[in-house]
This record gives sequence, C-alpha cells and structure tokens, in this order.
Amino acid sequence: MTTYRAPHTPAAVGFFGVASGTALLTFIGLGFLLARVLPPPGPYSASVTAAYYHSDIDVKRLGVILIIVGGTMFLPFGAAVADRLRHVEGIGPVAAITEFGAAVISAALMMVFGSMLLVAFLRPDMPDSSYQLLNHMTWLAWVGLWQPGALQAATTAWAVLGDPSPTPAFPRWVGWYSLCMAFGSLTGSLIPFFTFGPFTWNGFISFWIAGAIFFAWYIILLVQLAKNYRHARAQRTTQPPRSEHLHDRAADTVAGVMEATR
Amino acid sequence: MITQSSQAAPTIAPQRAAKRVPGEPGVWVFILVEMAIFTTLFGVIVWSRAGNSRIFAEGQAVLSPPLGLFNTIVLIVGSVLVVNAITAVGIGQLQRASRSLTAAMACGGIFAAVKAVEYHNALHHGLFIHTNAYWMFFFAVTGAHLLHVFVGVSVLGLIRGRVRCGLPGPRDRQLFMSATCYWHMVDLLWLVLFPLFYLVN
Repeated sequence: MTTYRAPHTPAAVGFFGVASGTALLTFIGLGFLLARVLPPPGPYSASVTAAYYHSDIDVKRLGVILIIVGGTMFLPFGAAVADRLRHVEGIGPVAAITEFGAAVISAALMMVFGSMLLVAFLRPDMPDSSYQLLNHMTWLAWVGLWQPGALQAATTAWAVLGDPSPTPAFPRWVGWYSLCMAFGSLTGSLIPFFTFGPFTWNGFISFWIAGAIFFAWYIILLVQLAKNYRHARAQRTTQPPRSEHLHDRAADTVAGVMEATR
Repeated sequence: MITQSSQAAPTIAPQRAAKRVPGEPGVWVFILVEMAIFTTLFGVIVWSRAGNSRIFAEGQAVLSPPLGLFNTIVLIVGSVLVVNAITAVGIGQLQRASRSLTAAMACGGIFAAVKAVEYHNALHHGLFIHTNAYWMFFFAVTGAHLLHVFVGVSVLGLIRGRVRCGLPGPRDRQLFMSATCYWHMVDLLWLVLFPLFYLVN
C-alpha cells in the first residue's frame, strides 16, 4: 500500500478549502434544522404540503437562506478539490475541470430551487396546489438530481485511482469511497417512480441513507484537505522567514509570479 | 545465530499481518460500504414485510423458487471458478486462470438471462415497481443487485486481460484479488436476497 504523503500546496489554498468545506457543512446542516426539513415534506397531498408552508414561516425562511448559502460553498470547495486533482499526472487537469463543473451545477441547483422554497414562504395566500408544485419541484431537484454529485465523486475517483505519484493527491481509499458514493447515488434514479415508501425523496433509503453517503464524502474530503493544510503550514514554519533578506524577498516574488502564471 | 533469529522475528511478523487483507486495502472501503447499504435494504425489506405479510406472500406465489435456486447455484459456481482462478494464478497457470474467469463471467451472463425471464414473467402478470411494496422491493433491490452483477462481470473481464499478460503491472495482483473479492460480494448478497424474496414466508 502506498504511504500517503501530501504534495505541496500553498497554505492559503489549503485554508480556502477547509474554510469553505466547513461553511458548506455548517450552513447546510443548520439550515436543514431551522427549516425543519429533516426529513423534508414528502410528495403529500396539496393541503398537507401547504400546512408546512403556513407555520413558523420566518424561521423556515432563515433556514432556507442558510441552505442556499451552504450550497454556494459547493463552488469554493469544489475548486479546492479540483486544485488537488489537477496535480495528478495525465488525467488530472481534465478531472479537475469536470469536478469543478459539476460543483458549479450543484451550487446552481441549490440557488435556483432554494429560491422556489422562498417563493412559497413569501406568499402565504397562494392556492394549496401551488405549494405542492413548488415543494415537488424543489425536493425532486435537490434529492432526485443525483448526477452532479455523482459526477464530482466519479471524476475524483478516476483521478485518485489513476494517480501514479508517490505523493498522491488523495489516499487511494478516498478514491474507492468516491466510487462508492457515485455508485450509491444511483438510488436517486428511483425517486421519480414513487410517492410512498423508502425510495421517495424523504424516504429512509433516498433521503437518510443516500444523504449520509453524500455528506460523508464531503466530510472525508474536508478532513483530507485539513490534513494537507496542516502539512502546508508545518512546511511553512520550518522554512526561514521570507522577509529576512532582500534577496529572498525578490526570489519569493518571482516564484509567486511564476506560480500565478502557470 | 541466536542474535540473527531474534533480529529476524520482528521483520517477519508485520509481513504476515499485511497479508491478512486480500486485494488492495482501499477496495474494502468500497466493498464494506456496499454491503452496509444492502444490509440496510435487507432490514427495510424485513421491516416492511412485518406490516404487509399478505402482500409479500402473494408476491412470492408469482415467483418461481426453482429459477431462483438455479440462479443461486449459478452464482456459487461462478465463485468457485473465481477461487479456481486465484489458485491457478498462484501456481502460474495463467491460461487456466483466464479460462476460469471467462467461465465465471458466463455465469454472470446466465444469471442476467434468468433474471430477464423472471422480470418478463412478472410484467406479463401486470406486476411492476408500482404494484405494491413487495414488487417495489423486488424490482428495486434485485435490479440494484443485477447492476452489481454487470459491474462484476465487467471487472472480471478487465482483469482477465491482465491475467493473460501475466499480471505485469505493480498493482495488478492486488487488483486481481480485489476483483475476485467484489465478485464474492455479489454472490454473498444474492445468498441473502434469494431467501428474502423467494423462501421466507
């Protein structure tokens, strides 16, 4: 088994990934709790669905806003993961672009369909069927559209498992878990078929189990990025201070420009 | 001499410990998570059966237990062939290993063909994923398992090419063992699914 040793990453990039990943999990988790969507309203009748949108409106609005803010963090976190993947020889750059592209779609889904929930909370005087439609559209998209998340995981797996470097972007087991996450996401394909049972968007399998697998992937990658960040900081503290000599400062500037233009 | 043997002992012990995990260690993350997901599904099926015993009994009456048993035997034979391939690779008989893997892949193909017949029979009776809880679980869970069979056959096919070349890559032997472990997992899952859908009443 290859011993995992993190390749060099600037500490600022490491911090960017760790901060955005932490914000992603915190805001989405807090948002789900405040909006009382653990689990979300299912594919119920119009009157039952409308009742959810007529109680504790302001707290739920705040919850949905936090979910959207957390969803926006898919972008910087996806960029931080892509930054690791681009170092992989051969497939790295294409995998990084694909992973980041999928993260953009994930963030867009959160923004577009989160707004639909906010529309439902904005107007308490709509017909019940309108709440039902908005609820169906939102949750079918958030839970049922598994493709962007699966694509992120699959491209990560592709890059990690194809990484020949002695200092790989991520440990190989992360690649295998990513493959498992991509494969497990296929359960989302069953959601459009059911309005009852464990495969509906708020069901035991489609929401709780698939959700656990999905967010475990983010936690695993966040922990790996945090390890890289710690490694980068440790490297920085063992190096001599940059401002000691004018010569060193000039060398740092040239290195920084080269890094930026690469 | 005494000094030499006391120095050699600590180096041998870790090597033996490292051999305990067949295949690449990371693959076990994949296999164990997959098995955990299916175990959860088994639990949900058993829980659902408790409240829908009549529906489950009616569903079982439509299925053919001999066909299910035949498929069980096919997958067990497939696993035996994969074990035979491991033995053959161990003693350097690569052609024999390749033939065994081909036969195991054929077992996967037979399993899929029988499953297609079963699905056709159910559809012929007007039964589909929406009919009731039993058929929802039958099509969803056996469909997911069938997908795993396809993946298993593909993985065996990919590794068969490496076996014929003598597993030249640095990770080839580990990947070969990992592929065989995956195939055994597919077999093991069916050994639980078969009684759940066909026998337990």
